[in-house]
Amino acid sequence: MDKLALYWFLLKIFGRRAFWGYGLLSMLSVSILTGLYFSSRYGLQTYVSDQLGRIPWDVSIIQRAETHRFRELQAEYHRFNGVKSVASLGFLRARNMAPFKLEADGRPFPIRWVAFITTSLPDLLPPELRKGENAVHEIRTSLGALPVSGALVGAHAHLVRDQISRIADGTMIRLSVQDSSSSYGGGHHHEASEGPVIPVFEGRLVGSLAQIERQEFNKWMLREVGSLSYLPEEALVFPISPDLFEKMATHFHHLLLTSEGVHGGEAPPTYVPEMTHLIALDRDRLFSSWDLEGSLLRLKPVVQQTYERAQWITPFSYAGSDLYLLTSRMNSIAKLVDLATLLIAVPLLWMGWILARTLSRLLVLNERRLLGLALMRGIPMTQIGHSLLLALALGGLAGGVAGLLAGGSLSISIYAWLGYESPPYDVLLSAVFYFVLFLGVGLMLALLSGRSILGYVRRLTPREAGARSSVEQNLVSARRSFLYAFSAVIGLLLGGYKILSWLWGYSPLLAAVNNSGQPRAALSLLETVLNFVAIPLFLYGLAGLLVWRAGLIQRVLDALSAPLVGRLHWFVSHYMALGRRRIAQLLFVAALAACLSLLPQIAADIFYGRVLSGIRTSLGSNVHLEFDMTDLTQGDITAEPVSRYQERLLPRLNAIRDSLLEMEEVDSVDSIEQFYVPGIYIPGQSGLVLNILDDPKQYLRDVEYEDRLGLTRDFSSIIGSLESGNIFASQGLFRLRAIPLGKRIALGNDQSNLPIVVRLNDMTAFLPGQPSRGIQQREGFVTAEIDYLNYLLGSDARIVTAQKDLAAIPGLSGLKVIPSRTVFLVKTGSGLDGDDFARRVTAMLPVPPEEIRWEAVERKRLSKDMFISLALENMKVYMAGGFILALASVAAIALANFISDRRTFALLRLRGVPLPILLRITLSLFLIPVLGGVLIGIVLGAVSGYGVSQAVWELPRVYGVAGFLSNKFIFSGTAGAIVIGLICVFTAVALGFGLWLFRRTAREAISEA
Amino acid sequence: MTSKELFNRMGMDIRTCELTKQYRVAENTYPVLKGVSCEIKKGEVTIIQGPSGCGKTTFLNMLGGIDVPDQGEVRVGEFTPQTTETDLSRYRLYDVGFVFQSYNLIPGLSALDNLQLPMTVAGRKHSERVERAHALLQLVGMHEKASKKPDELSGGEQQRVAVAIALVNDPPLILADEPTGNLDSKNGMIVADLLCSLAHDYEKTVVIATHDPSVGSKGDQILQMRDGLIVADGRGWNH
Repeated sequence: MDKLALYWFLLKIFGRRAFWGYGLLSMLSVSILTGLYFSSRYGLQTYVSDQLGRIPWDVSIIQRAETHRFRELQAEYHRFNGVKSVASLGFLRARNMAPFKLEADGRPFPIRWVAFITTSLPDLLPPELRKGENAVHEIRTSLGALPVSGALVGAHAHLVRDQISRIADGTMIRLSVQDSSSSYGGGHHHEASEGPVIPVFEGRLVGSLAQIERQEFNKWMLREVGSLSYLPEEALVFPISPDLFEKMATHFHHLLLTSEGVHGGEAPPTYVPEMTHLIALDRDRLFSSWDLEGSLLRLKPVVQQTYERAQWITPFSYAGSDLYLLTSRMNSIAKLVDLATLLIAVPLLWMGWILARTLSRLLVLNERRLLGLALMRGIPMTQIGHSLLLALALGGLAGGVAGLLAGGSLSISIYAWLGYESPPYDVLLSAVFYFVLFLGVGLMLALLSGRSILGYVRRLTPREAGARSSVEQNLVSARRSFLYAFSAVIGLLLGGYKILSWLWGYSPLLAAVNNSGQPRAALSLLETVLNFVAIPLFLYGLAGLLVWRAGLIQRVLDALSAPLVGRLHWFVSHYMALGRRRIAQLLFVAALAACLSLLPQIAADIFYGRVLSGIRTSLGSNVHLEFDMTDLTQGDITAEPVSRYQERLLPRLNAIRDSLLEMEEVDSVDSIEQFYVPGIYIPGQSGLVLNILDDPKQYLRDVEYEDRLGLTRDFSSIIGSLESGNIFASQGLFRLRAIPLGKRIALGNDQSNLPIVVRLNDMTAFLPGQPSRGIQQREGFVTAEIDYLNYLLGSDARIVTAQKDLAAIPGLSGLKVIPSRTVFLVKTGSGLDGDDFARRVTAMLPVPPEEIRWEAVERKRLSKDMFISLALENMKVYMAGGFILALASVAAIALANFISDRRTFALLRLRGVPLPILLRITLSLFLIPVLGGVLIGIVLGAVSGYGVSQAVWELPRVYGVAGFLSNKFIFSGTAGAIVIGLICVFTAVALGFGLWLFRRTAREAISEA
Repeated sequence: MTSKELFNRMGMDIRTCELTKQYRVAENTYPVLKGVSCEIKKGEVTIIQGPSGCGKTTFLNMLGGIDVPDQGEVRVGEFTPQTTETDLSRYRLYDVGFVFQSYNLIPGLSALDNLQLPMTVAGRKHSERVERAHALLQLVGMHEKASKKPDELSGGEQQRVAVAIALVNDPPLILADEPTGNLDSKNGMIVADLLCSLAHDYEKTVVIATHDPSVGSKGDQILQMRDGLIVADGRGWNH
């Protein structure tokens, strides 16, 4: 027989079971991996599509000058590459002071601002500004008494309240400007001078004024347009047609009035024109929610070109792309999510390896006699070995391909049935790399496991093959080698070290290196790698330990089985001693199964628990009420000494506090005032934030905090020290400005122009309950939703002091500040109905809060946080995969043990041992070790889950402040259900094997064995 | 322990009626018993003879409750063993002592432990088990190898242990499938005499399937089987 024919012959004889066995294993592993891959991709795609749906426009180009050219610019933008449509939204804002003058029916009207708004798309305006047949579209060729609709912003302002009744249906509104011969270069406001009064707008109000809340308008703008526009806190707003807007803007431009930003200047701007051009790109061509990386590559040149060309057309524009920002941020977060889920995936792959090894043992047990017969007939072992290896490889490959097809098609079909969009072909093609990787994994598992078979087969003698005794000693003899023992010890040490450092929250190795000043790059890399492989290493070491101490384990299990088997205890004990390594292996696999079933769930629970801690820290208390200070001061936003603002604010704050305390469910109320110190430049902020706590002692009693939030010493000590004149700063400030700790710094000058000097002695990560960061920039809004926890716990630059410090620290009361927000932290009893509370508070308070937050609302918002939602979803998906693998592994090893034992069980049956006793024997031989393993697995799973959660928080650029919060161990009902589910399944398997013996006659049972 | 103390229970008459059994291998069925009817008396040694594949072992399996017939009936005394698995287990434990052709010793257990196992299941106390086991091993000449495991014994030694196991619960019915096949003439004679004495001295029902003429000559009743049927039913020399 020639060689090929011989191999084919041997393949058919010896390779069938290997082919099918490894084919099935490979199919299972690869289909699970493929299913997990598709689940995470679908999760990502759904999230991205959802977020994309919230972005109405892809690129915004904001003109701050030359707004009269908007039509010309709009036409230009239409011609840009990738642009599908363009819309525009314009604002002309004039301050009602010289040179502007606002009149109602010929008499000056004392509102602070008047604004005109126009748009190319009526739907861009809030409903309050879209009235009737829409005066916006009325085209008039001259300035005349146009019929206009109008809206009022800031209706609660007392000045306005008294006068607003003057403006009603039919009122003539007139805006005029006093021309001046002086130039306005440099953007500084000038004193009113003599000159002709030129009317720039005349309109007759149609209908009554609508009322707009500034906050609601801002939300509308962010939602519909994607960016904020400065809406004055007190203004009359009139929608006008684009033609009229063009005329008015041209007129103002010719008057050489320039706009002035709020940064740096003391005087407010008088004229603030703005035209926002909103561009929708061809998303079908440029963007795919399945492929963020590719979308970024396609978007980048288009967006870049748009920026450059816009800048070239007019230098007074500023461009930004929500779509690009969002895509970029989501892409970064997606990579972090992949990294986080890899922490769970690696141990699962390890489980697959264990399964493969178990299967190899099963195969050997089944083929042993056949191999022995072949040897006795003179067939060379090398050729048998090669044919086995070929069968394994073919099985692994075929199974892998089948797994890819099964896992992929099943996933896509299920999702299609659930109504999800299917991935396009090019996305599937681009994922080929992953599919090849999965196939490689399946094949590798088969081949690596096959090595152990080949090694055994090569050592096998015909006599051994023919013997009916257990071949356990032969299988494990190789494992007693020094190399195995050594590697197991290393695994135990390295894995154990990392697990302990997770639990401790401290890495001794890195700390020791830091102190000695040695380079730490290599050790950091080791620590990072250990994050991923610690659990598999530890489990590998544990396996070795169990084999080494198999005798001890057997004795313990033996004692545990005594009550179950009664008078046959001596037999079970003896039988366990014969197969102690198999028992140890069964215990180990059960421990592994329980560990890997629990690990994702516990990791997810602890991870989410820390997220909730973050929410509670951000809220500070049960309910978090935020007020805009301008609503409370009823003044301009000007820089004034803090003490002056305090005088104005204190009565209003006390009134709010008293109202809150009168509510039945309220136990206590704390407040934090927030100001900006404008003289100090802080990138991305309107100035340095100054927070003032009203009562630090009460604050500490009421607020949710952790001492770890204090970076120089315990947070409680830092807050306690405020009473004695201490000022502390956030880590954000120290990061942005190189301010040395403990050194004196100047915050500004007081009214006598003397420097106000303070010493910043302490640093904190975060101030619980601090006012939320205002979303002033478009970037902030875009990323706030998808990166919500980072947004909530953002560490900006702030200093914190107490009310009493204002008097205690020299000059501090004279520090010039701009008011920002006030927060009331309301502590209530449990079971609060947040919606109802919010409704009553809003109705009751003299000034409605700008924002009311409580935990339930924050949890809902947090569900949109990309990292959290996708990481949690992936963890749950991996839990399902882990559970399946766990069950398969235990079933496989149980089957392997059963095949070893079935002859004995058949003999027992032959000798008249009845079913109940035989069941008790199988239960004691299988279930007792498995339950022992599950117990170990619960502990391992809990520790590993805790550790993995800790490792996720240690990932780079995840969450700064949340990283300071502590991990709290949580064993949820779901985790308990997993344990119970495992125990039920394992018990069923044990009973199943016992009953299997009795499915046929005793003769058939012994023949089978 | 004396033999009298070892063996107390008397045998039972056996009657079979049209026993039929066929085995399915892949898609083929092979009829092995084609309607076997006979009577076997207690206190006698019944020898079953016939060529290989005639159905001797299958017939013994039917009698021993190890297999169930497709058709027909086995009555042992007033008892029909092929009712439920519980009944069959009890029957095999208490009422049948089966000496298998392939010994069927439990690997890993010593000879002594192999004997103790059925007695443990039957509820005998430890001291009684040990005493009985030693006595039975003495009876078959294996007392000195009580602690040896099956893979440490020769085929003949395993055979003798198997005989001892069959007697361990003092069953009224003893079935032996080629009990002397691997034994030398001296030990074979010992075993054969033992089996015969169980029938003649202790009124047990003994059925032996054998090719060994020295054993066959000791039978009180000889059943000739061929192609799944009993073709001759005669009395032996001993009768």
